[in-house]
Amino acid sequence: VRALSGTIDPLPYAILRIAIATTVLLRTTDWLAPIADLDHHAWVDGIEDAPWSEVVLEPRLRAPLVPGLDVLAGGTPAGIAVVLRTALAAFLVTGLFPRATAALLATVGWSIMAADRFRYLHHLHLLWVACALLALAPSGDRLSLRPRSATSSPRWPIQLVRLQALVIYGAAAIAKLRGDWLDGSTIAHLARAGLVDRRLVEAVGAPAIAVAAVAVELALVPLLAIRRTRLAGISLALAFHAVTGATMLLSTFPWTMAVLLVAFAPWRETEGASAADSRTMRPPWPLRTRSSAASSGSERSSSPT
Amino acid sequence: MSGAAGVPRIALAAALAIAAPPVLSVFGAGEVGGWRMFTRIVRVELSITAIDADAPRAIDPAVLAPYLGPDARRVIVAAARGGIGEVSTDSLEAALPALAELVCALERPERVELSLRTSTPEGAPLGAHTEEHPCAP
Repeated sequence: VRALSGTIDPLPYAILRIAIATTVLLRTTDWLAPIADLDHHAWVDGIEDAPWSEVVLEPRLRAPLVPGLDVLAGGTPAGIAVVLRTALAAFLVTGLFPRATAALLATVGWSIMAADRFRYLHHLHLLWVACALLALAPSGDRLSLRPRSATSSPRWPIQLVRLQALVIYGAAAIAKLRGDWLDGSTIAHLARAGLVDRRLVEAVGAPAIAVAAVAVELALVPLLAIRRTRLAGISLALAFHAVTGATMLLSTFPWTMAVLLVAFAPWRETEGASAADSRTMRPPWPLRTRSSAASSGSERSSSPT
Repeated sequence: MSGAAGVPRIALAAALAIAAPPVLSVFGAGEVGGWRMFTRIVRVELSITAIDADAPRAIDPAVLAPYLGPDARRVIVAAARGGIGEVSTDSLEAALPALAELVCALERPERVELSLRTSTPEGAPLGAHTEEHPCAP
């Protein structure tokens, strides 16, 4: 609990909001196609999952990730949902009603993906998880159409973003601690399947790449978790994502992870709980009781402790 | 709404929701939020058989393509030829009952049998799953 308490500069929340919302816009459309060659441009025509850009005959396969969500797999509901997803992402950039907008965007975006279990991809799931984390964060105080004068924000939402990044690095590293990864055979298969740059594998060797990937991901967890080593961790992570983004078919995954690294930058923050902190720990609106709303009335003008 | 030290309970719940999926994934709860990233590459081969009065006939998964979304099409049609996959393999196994329903609706057999065989990329068998599905008259 102590790790979640404290206050932080409001700016990182605003940066995360703009970067994540923009990433959603660019990942779920082909709008950048005239000026950039992104992985998803190979399969997205216009707006992704839009029923008018997919020709699927009835009776279509209905295999949702969550029962009932297949209603969003095609037809008018899918059309409304993808337009809403795009509008919400654009609106989130403005910083108006950021929590509600991010919550809706996370819900709509994840539901469209879950409408067909074959749409699930880690990089898409990460985008919607990032939106869900934004739904908990006061990200409209800076770089917003309606900025506020708050000089500090609760730290727990950014701690959750940090936890999410650490969990991803840790889980990815632990999953690689197996023989067929460490001996390079998985990397070799990925190269043959066109998912990893063959020239890199031929130049460096599959086992070396495999071991380096595990070593970097394992190292990132303590480097980013410990405040004194965070700059080294950010540098290593950015280099790692630059290399993997350039040599693997990962779509927006490396970019989104790089965005989450904003949370680890050396922002002005205080640790631990205090009376002032308890005023700033305002839960999101849907979960706020009358008493908690009243006690948080001074949140926006509170100073960092 | 606040727990100890003024931290909202939703923060603690969110922390648990962030940390739990990779652990659950290891214990077979699926790939959603597992972040295992390219570590479970397998070859998967799907065969579909429609059975009428004991006369089986093989159905090429490619004939289902017009009835599949683009993502399902990419996975299922490739699986007919022994495609390589990771998360998509789990998706395919979970979607077998729905796929059987689709074959029932299109081919009108008495029952459908779907067979999913997984192997290492080198071809060593890993497992097999057969889904037998009676079609509604």
